Amino acid sequence: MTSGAIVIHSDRQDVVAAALSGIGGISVIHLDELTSAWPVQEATPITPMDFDRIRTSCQGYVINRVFDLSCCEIGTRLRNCGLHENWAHAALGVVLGQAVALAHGIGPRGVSRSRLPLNAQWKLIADRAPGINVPLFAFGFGHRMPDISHLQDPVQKSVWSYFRWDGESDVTEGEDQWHPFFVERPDGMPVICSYHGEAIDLEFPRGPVAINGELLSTLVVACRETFDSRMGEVLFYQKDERVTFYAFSPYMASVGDSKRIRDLLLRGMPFAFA
Amino acid sequence: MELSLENLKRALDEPGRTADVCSTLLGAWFENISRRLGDALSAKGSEGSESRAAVDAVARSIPHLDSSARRRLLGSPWVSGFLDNPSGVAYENENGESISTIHALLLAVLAENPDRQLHCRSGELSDHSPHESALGDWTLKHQRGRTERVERPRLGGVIVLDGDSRLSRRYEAESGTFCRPYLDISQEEMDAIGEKLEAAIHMLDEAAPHLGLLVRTFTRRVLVRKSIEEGEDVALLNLGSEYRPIHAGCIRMLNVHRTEMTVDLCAEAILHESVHSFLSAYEDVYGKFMSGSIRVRPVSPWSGNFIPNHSLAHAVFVYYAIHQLLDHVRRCPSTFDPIMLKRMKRRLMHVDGGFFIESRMSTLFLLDFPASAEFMGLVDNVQSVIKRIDRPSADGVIAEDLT
Repeated sequence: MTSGAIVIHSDRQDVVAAALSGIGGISVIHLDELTSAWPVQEATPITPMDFDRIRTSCQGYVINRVFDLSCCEIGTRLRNCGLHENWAHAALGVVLGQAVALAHGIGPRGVSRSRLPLNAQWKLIADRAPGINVPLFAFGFGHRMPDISHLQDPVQKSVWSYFRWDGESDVTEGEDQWHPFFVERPDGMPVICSYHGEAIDLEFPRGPVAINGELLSTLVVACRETFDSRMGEVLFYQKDERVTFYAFSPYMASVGDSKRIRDLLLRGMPFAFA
Repeated sequence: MELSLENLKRALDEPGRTADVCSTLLGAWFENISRRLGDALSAKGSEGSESRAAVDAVARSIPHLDSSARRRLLGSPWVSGFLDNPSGVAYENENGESISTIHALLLAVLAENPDRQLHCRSGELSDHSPHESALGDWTLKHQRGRTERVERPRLGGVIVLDGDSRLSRRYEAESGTFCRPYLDISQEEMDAIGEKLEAAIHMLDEAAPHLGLLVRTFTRRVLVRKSIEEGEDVALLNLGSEYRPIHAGCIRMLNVHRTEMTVDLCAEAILHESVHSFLSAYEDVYGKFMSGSIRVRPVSPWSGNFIPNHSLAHAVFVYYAIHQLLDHVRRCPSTFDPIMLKRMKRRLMHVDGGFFIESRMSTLFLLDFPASAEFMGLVDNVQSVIKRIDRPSADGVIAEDLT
């Protein structure tokens, strides 16, 4: 075990990687640098080769920001060989398996708990935190449209679009006809709580509102454990005393100010960093 | 004899057990569906006079069936369709009029009744007399003033190949196959489809005979749907297959006439859907593995698509069976065409890749009421078997070389 930390990211614009680069004791590495030596061959599991240079860091706190392989070099090689994406995540799992603490789950969208569809998020949070409300929704099956008569002011949405709640439909072409998903438009004032470990940062997109600290703490703990994410951002709407959870996202894109995000990330580290 | 859940796995990976599990399950399934049909007919008959006549006719006719005809009826999609929705629509007739599930069931009973002398006769066909047998293995065609009985082709000696029945033309909005348009299949195309599917069954028999047995036990009819023409843009091409328990023993396959639907893909599809039929039979007898609610659906680790919880439960066994097939193929490479072999090795990696997730498979389910611990343990056990075979490791040692 070490008291170091490493950020492994798949997006060159990753907010966390950018905020933590250049800080002593924290390594930041793009997935391409890690996987370039990994042999990807047809009909063969991927063996994670040549990661000695980061082996020690991986025995500390690992911030796994590998969310999408499609734009990474290993994603291209997987496609060329017809290999399932899970094999790359499995190889990554071998590297990350020694971490003392891991910031996000491993695996593709929908399999990793850190990136679940909205209705799955709502079900899990409702099960875990009964004091927190979740939106009413309707989910069609195949081409069959769902019954939306129980919804007030419904909007069709993508189940993968976490933080876009501007009242407009955000479904992509094709998605509107296949497994159509409808949800009530949010009512109340939006609040975004970004957290890392025990540290939090609040954002009020439409102006400040009084927050029930106990409920907020319950919600953050529920998200951290349910979504296998030591860091993340949580969108909820508050109306009077009523708190409605709308989405969890691991992307950390809501804290726009680079100093604030860096401060939040450092405050939430399991070990002290300069 | 009660079949434990463990037998589902053993039927797939212990060839010596398959015949016993399949025959025991099928026997129990026939007993179960016979009882359920009796209950459903009683309930339907008490609804009112509108359906009373059809219910009475069905109830009167069944005792006249010999044991073989009774099994043909019970194993038909008309019984499962009626049980699924006693007030539902079975299909549309030539004029686009809806034929109810009770009426379709009555026609199936009449078709299997030896006293009806259906084999050859003169006169037009009508909605009041059967057009085909309960299992669809023969149909009546009216040609040149005479009605003749025409046999449909059989695959693997027993499975009916059907590309023209009313059932095969059915539209279902929620179906991945029957939501596609129905296009007529020429005789030439039907012959090619038959040859391809026969080769697929042969491949199953060669590579994993126990799975060939399972397929023949739980699949009685292949419904082929052509949704695009031979020369049409490949971007419009949909290949796929489906099993829905509303039509027990019937598997659906899309666009088998296209060259893209290769023999190996067909073999995989037939096995895939037959395992669904096998599992559904088990659930009919011993109860559902879990809730059928589709309000919140997990994401399949194989396809990345939303699938109902119970479909994910099935998928674990389906892909485990396909692993058995493809793994047998890999072990006997000289038996197969090299290009086909290459494709099948790729498919094997895809199938195994779905099991290769960090978390236990049982954690993917999103259930309002937990499934049994025994079932979830079995799901995780299946996953761990695959992960032991294909273990990637940090030091470059792989448990078993798949190349």
